[in-house]
Amino acid sequence: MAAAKRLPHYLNTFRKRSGLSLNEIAHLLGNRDGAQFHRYETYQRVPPLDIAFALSAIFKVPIEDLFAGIRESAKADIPDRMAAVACSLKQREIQDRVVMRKLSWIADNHGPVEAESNAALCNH
Amino acid sequence: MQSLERQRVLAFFVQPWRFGYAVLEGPNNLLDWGSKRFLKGPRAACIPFSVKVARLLSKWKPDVIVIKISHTTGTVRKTKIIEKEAEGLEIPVHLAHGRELNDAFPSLPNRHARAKFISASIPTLAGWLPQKPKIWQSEPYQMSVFDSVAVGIAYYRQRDRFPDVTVRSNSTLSIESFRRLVG
Repeated sequence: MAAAKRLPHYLNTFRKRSGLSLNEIAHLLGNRDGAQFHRYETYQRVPPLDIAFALSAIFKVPIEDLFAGIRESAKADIPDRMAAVACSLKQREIQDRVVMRKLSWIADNHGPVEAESNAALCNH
Repeated sequence: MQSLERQRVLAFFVQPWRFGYAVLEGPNNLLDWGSKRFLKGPRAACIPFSVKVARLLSKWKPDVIVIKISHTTGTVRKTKIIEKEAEGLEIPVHLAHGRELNDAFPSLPNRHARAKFISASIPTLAGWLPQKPKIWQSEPYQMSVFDSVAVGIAYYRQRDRFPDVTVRSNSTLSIESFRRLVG
């Protein structure tokens, strides 16, 4: 069973749980009024990294829970891209120490890459 | 088919004079909740019910909508409006009867006891729990929030018992009658 797709972020949920108004949150973020935070809540703007960390500190929620959907979509393509990078490294003519070190880092951190399953990715 | 525990459920509890809604992502994870009145008189057409429902659907993008059925005239009409909006977005709608609600909370004798139980299991709602009204007092507006949360939890607990209504291709509601209802 596939998991349900998460929302990009849960800013509205955590603000509602806290009971704080838009203007109060804006004051905590150092903004003049709540308009900008409203844009974040309604998906019109993506908050910058410093605001994201500030919100995580305000709501006392880990940033990956606060921006669960963004995190999932950002992570989704990494394995394929990593496989493509590993594949292109393996196809190099000169397999020197630097290349071997990169491949070993990828294998340690992202698991072994099977060449057959990623043949299409290698051509990218 | 999605994992039931992670499904985002939008539950409605429609009454003739107001409706309560709750958005849940799992039985104990309440994302949003609220209660809105159906205005009468000149303010009635300010924001039609269909627009309010459409806003909720676009904001929360639920996987499933659950509506507590009531056979009062106004609520049947409102239920059809919700179904129509859901149909446009191809969101399945399930209808909950009173008996499903009662069976999901078997040991709780009345709505207030149910609300008390919900406020204990979802601490966010603890501040919303109203005093039990005396018999001559009107129902507190917060009760519709607790009722809609109860509908959502009942769905998680007894998914198999909820009849699926939509997505259906041929709606019984014609465009003319829908416009009359909305407009």
